[in-house]
Formats: sequence, structure tokens, C-alpha cells
Amino acid sequence: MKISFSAMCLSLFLFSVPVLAGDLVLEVKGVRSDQGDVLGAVHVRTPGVKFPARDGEGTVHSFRTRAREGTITVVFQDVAPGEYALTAFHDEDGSGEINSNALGIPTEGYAFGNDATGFMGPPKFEDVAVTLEEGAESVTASGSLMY
Amino acid sequence: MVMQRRDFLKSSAVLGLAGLVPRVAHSIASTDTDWAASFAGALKEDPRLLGWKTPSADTFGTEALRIEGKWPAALEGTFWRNGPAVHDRHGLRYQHWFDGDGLLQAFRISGGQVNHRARVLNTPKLIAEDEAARRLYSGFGTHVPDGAPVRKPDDMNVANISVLAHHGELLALWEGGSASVVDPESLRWQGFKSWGQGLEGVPFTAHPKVDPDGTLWAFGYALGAKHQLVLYHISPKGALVKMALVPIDAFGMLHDFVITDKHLVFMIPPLVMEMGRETSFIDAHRWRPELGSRVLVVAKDDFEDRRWYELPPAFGFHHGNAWEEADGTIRFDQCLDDDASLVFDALRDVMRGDLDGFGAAFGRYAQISLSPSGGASMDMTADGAEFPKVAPSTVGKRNRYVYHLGVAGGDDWYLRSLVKRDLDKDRLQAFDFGAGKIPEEHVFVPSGENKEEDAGWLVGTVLDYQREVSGLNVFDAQHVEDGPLATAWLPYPMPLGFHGCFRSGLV
Repeated sequence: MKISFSAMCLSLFLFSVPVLAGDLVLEVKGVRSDQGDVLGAVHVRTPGVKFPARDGEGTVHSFRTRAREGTITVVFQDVAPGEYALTAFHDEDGSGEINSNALGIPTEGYAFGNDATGFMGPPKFEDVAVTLEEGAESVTASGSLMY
Repeated sequence: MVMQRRDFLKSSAVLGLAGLVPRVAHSIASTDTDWAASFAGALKEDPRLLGWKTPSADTFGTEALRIEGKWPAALEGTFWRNGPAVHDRHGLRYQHWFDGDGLLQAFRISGGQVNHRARVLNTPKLIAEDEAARRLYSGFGTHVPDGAPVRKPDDMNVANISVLAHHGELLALWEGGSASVVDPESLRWQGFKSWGQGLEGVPFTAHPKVDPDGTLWAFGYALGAKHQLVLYHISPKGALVKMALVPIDAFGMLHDFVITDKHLVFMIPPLVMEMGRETSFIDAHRWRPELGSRVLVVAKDDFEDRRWYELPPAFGFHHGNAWEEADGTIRFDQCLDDDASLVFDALRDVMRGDLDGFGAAFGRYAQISLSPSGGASMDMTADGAEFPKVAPSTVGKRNRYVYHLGVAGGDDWYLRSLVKRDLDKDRLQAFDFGAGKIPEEHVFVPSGENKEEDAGWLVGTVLDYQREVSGLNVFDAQHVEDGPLATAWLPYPMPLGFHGCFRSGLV
């Protein structure tokens, strides 16, 4: 496993290298402080699993990194072509979980890829996802934290 | 970095939660009519519309207001008021009275002198819009095209309905989201109030009720994939004692409630938020008279102890009071209309300068009775009434008097008189402000001189739309029909607002 880390970029390589693989670049924008961690996950379309599943079903990559004000970029190298949906949150109190109020509304900042929003519910997978085409070198999934 | 299954679970847990926030977007195309031009044109012809004009500045202050009459020397303290004010900003005029950003006012009364301060509340919503130099958020009844998404209710919190001083804290109240903490000296918005862990951003009513011992009872309505009523029990020292979430079918906007010494009472109109349509907050509601009105009674000491009553369909904003008879019968009052056309139409039309249906849309004074055997009855008077208030010492107990605004004659376009209603003798005393003046809510302030329920003053504002100034009235509550003892006149008009409160100190 090769990990390169810089102020803005955390590079990960986790899976065996498939043919025609490319880089999946994840950008979490709008981190408001250096407090706590930023946690993210990459979801794929999974039969029988409603996006985004609470129990982590349908999640193929995830990361956790120290929060840094501004933008955090994480690269997963040599990822197979396909559709990937980014979700993230800023775990400012370091609890390891997203805080939410009694109504289930998050009280820590969270982000969906493409800054997708839903109507009376979470956004749809296809609105959040980006596609890594076969033969493409990379694709970037980007979302801004909303507090 | 070691990836753990645990991390996957935690980071993906974010996802199911986001969906519970209603995204409010609205269907009215603001380009259909130029509301600002329409209002400006109508204002030239009709000076009454001054009450819905955006004030000329974000802050106001005047020392030693000119006092007409004799201000009672014993009446000292601060009268706070709140209401929507910034109806126009960044080239957009809002299309519902309830949308405007809140303006908090403080009248400080000391030594027979009255000073005035007013400030548009610098909510995160308004700050974001001013930074963007455009309206970003759709509101109660206005669609802002290409606005920012509303991810939680407080994103669009305008803190514009009422104001509460409780345990040394001054709170500007909205109802779709949190209460706001305001600095009583500067009137600056300081932050959203959380009543405890997990209650951040949970809706809190503009009409909490306070027991004579200072215990605070409140509710919120949370509309979403499932509709819930939030119940709060807060100690006199401002600490959360308990809360509960009550699922309610066919639920929507609920503005006020009442308490007895043992129960919380909710009159739930058949105004139903229906999901699945992308439209404005109020336009997502449907009037469904076939459901009738439902009354929910919850025990103060056990939020799980709940019972229901049924009544004919009716819609109202405000209650005066409630109490329980010895046999357990609960009696309460409300200003009620047959339907919700007031909130759907009249309160919107005024924003483009149309007052035609305004007066007729206001409710009438009604009394409701809930029997321990399960029966309920409603007695509607013919008296147009709004903004009912009672002596704070009678909240939850049998009150003899209720003070409200009323119509003064058959051709009234709006509430024009201050009425003292004697429930024991079924008798009214009223003072007609006459053409040219629009009175607002007047609150009862006890004088402490004796134990009589009406020993005290009524304090409230009035807009003189002919002279284009607002004033603060004080009435002797025992002689309402004599008119104000004194009025402290501002050198400027304030927009018509909603609710106020009086405290003998700074907060």
C-alpha cells in the first residue's frame, strides 16, 4: 500500500489494480475549521439497497482524515470504471459519528457529491454520482460541506 | 491509514439523515407580477399600506420620545416587539406578510421617559443574502428563483414573529426552526437557542406559554416524511425538563396552543402539509375541511398521556387562555375563521397593495369546551377579534378578562379597536382608534397595586398612517374605553408587526 500525504492531498491505493482502471478524486470543499475529522464514503449502485443506506451497504471506499480548513482532496487510485457517489461529513467533535438532532437532522456539516439536494428526502444516487469512463485517467467527485 | 468497516458505517450514516429536512421551494413565479411596483403604486393611493412598507433603515434609535398625555410614573421597564419588516431587499419584494426579515424593537421606559431602539435581526439567512447581494432563500410564501437549497429549517430562519424574555435571556421567536438569542442591549442576533443536546435546530413555537411560577411550555411542528409535534417542558431556570415527539397524521402549520394547570391543549386545524409536490411552504398545504378540527390534550406531567377531541373545521392563529373546571371540563378561546383563506390569500394580497379582502378574512372570538366524557363544543361569536392577551397571572387558570383587537364597525377593513372582554358578565368595553390609526397587539402589565385581575395597564403600539409615525400606548386596563392614558410618539413609522412582551427590567 502506498500512501502519500500533503496538506491538501491524501492519496490512497487500496485495491488490486484492474485493467483500464483510473483515479477517483474526491474533493470535500468548504471545511470550516481544523477541528476534528472529515469522514467520507464512496457508494456504488447496489441492487436491493436504497441509496444512501444507513448501514453502509453499497459503500466501496471510505476515508477519514484530520480536518483542515478549506478543501480536502483524497485520491483512490486504480479504481474500476463505473458510477461513484460521494458523501462526507465534518466530525468536528471527533465522536466518530455524525451528530443529529431529535428529528434526525444532521447538526454537523455534511456533503453530497455534485452538491445534489433531494426533495423531501435524500438526493437520488444518479444526481450524486460521477462516472469513471473506461480508459479515462481520472474523474473528480466533489461536494461542499453545508453546516 | 487503516480502513475499517466501522469507518465505512459511520461515514455512510450521514446519508439517511439528510432526507428529513423539507426542501422548501415555491411555485409562484415572481415574474408574473411586479409586486414592488404594484405595492408602490397602491401606496400612493392608500396610506394604510404604510404598515407593509419596508423601513428606510436597518436600525433606529430615539431618546426621550414625545409623550402625549400623562405617562404613569409607576410603569417602568422594557416593552419588546417583533415582526416582519424587510419586505424588500436586493430588488425583490416578498409576496407574503410572513416572509420579511424580523425587526426587533425595544421601548425602554424609565422616569416617565421612553427611549426607542429598533434593529433588523442579523440572522445567518440575512447575512448570507447581503453577502451575495441577492435573496437566496425562499420563505413562507415567496419563491426565490435559483435560490440556495434549504438543507435545514434554520437556513431560512427570519426570527420575525415574537419575542420572549425568560430567565434573563431574550429570544426572538420564529416557528419553523430555532428560537434566536438576542443581545438585549444592542439587539444584535447572537445565535440559535438550543434547549439541550439533540435539540439544535428543532422547531420552537413563537407562542410558548409561561406558568405563573416561570415554567415554560412550548411546542414545535416538524413536517417531513412523517409529521411530528415536538413538546417541550422547560424549567423556570431555562433547563429542559423533558421533551417528546408526537407523530400526527394529516398535520401542518400550527401557530399557537394553550395550557391549563394540568394540560397542554392543541387545536389542530385541517390545514395539511402534503408531501410530494415541490411548492411553497404554505402552498404545500391543503385545506381539507372533511377532516374537521382535532384537539389534542396532553398531560403536563406525562407527555404520553394524550387524548383527542373532534370539532368542525376552523382555522385560527391565536388563543387567549385555557382553564379547567372542577369536573375536568377544559375551556379555552381562539380567534377563529371558517377556513384558512386569511393565510392563503389576504396576508399575501396585502404585499402587492390589495387590501380588498383583508378585514373580512380575520377571525371571530370563539369559545371551546372539552368535556371529560369526550364531547367537544365550539361557540363562535360574531365579533371580529385578533391578538388576544390575558393577565400573565391567569395563564392556565380561569380568567375573567381577555383583551384583544376588534373591529369597530360594519365597514371595517381591519382591526381598529382595543377591546376588553368580560367573560363573567359577557360584556365588552372598547376604544375605537378611529380612521387613520392601526392598533397592534396590546399586552397586559400588572400594576401590583391590588389583586384585581385588571389592575394594571395595556401596553402596545399603534401606527398613525396619516401622520406617518408609530407610537407606544399605555391604557388603564380598568378603563379601556377612555382611550390611552398616554402615547409616546416615534419620529418615524414602524412596519406593522406581530407580538411583544413586557419586562420590568432590561430583560
